[in-house]
Amino acid sequence: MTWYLTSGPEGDLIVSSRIRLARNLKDYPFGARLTPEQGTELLERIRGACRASGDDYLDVHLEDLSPQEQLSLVERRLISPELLEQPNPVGLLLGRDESIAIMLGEEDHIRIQSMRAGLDLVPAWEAADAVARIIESRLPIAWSERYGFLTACPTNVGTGLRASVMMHLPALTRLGQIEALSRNLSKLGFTVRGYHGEHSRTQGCLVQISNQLTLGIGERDLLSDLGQIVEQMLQLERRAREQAFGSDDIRTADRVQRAIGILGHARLITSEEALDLLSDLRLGVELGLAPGFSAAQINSLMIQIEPGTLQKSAGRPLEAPERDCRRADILRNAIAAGRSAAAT
Amino acid sequence: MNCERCQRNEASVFITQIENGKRSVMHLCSDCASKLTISPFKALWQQLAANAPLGLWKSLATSPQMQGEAAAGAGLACPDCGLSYAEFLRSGKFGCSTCYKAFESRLDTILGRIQRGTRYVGRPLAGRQSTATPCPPPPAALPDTSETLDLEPACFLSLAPEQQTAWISALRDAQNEAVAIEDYERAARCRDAIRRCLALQAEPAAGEEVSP
Ligand SMILES: [Zn+2]
Ligand SMILES: [Zn+2]
Repeated sequence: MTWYLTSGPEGDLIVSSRIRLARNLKDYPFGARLTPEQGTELLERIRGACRASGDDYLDVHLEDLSPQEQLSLVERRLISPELLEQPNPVGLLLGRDESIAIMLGEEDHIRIQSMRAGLDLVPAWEAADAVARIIESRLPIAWSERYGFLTACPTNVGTGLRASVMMHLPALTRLGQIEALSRNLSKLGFTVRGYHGEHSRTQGCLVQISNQLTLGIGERDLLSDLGQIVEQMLQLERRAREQAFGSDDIRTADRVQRAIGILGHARLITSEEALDLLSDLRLGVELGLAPGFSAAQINSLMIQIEPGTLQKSAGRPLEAPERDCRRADILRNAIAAGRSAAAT
Repeated sequence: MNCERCQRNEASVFITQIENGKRSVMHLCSDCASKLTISPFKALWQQLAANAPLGLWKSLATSPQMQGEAAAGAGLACPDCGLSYAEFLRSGKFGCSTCYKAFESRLDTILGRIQRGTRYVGRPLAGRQSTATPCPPPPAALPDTSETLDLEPACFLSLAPEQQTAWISALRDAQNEAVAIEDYERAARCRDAIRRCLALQAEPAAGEEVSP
């Protein structure tokens, strides 16, 4: 099931879990150093090996897509923005429900991504690992007994595994604890980032935690460490909620209802404002203050209102004011639907 | 309402404190809230901070610990891609998988600083001892015996395009030779093998036109 159309385990606080495995082929230089001829040949070999697995992939030719369609792939977390900036040929193989996406020709030749709603790290890893095993048994992989899977960056060598969990932390955000959180988790080998990735500020109170370490720790140990950190964050957030919201129910209810009010009536809305209001609405869902609405619905709205996805569904480029208008339309309709669901 | 602590920013955080059985509410901006040590977090931060510090590449490359590293690895370069050790230190990226061998003498130092350990402890590479048979290297010449005219479909597809083309043209040559010596049985086998290869090449292409 496509992660952003659903909600998973611990779905009230955790939006999604993501796994990325990096693999490279022997006998070719890493990503950016490939010649166009090497790049094209490499892509064909990987496509061939994936086809041979009998799995059904959509072979997406990125160069044929409009900039809006490309951006929409980034917004749906199916490709990294870096893939679009590679000087060498790149490709994308997409599993039919978008839960598996294989990026070809990024910094590493092969990056297998697996996405799940909620906190679902181990199943997400197993799905990605199954694909990795097929590729490993079909192609000559850059691997050594000593260092494991060899990658372009020494921060990925070993398992080549990057696991991320996207969490909704409104109370910790409001209490200004995210920076302290980020500082301290980096000492444990985990990175904290905002919704839009690497250098972004926290938007919509969404925070992504992922591992930095890939060598000297096995896959399952790493996943269990990350799982424990996430559990701790959940506990912290729940305690922080008592502090930030619990003592003053009417203030929280006011916040949630204001969000519903603005989302339900605005005619123009930026994606920044919308994400912040959706965060308030999600808080309402989590606290049982917003009947008729669900975390899954908010997950899906978050993707629908992003610039690339908006333009993709419009089928043409849209200027910012036009996007703000369409975004407001989508949100008004969703709020109206939620209200009538609550009424019945 | 303004923040009680700095009196400047809008208060956005309302913190309930219970001290000596007395409840009080503090109205703070998030800047001030982050500076205060709020009780439930204090323990966690201390616990987390007790663990060994690790750095990212950027901070590592410019750190005093690394000052001698370029000198220690002077003269090292990768024979395959030509990347020098100094260049590697600057960019933080290897050029190819052979770089790992070329810089091996320095890697324990580097990896020890940015990773949990310096040796791999993950699962083994798949396809070595596992039941899945890895594809043999592409055959250089067509075998004489009729049984081996077909490559396993998966192995054929894993070949680079020009290797696939070379294999098909080898089959064509064999077919012509067979016809020349009137070995029609072998010629037919060759023809069928060519057809299967062409079908394999054509088959997945049908699904490629769909846009996401
Ligand atoms: Zn203040
Ligand atoms: Zn090299």
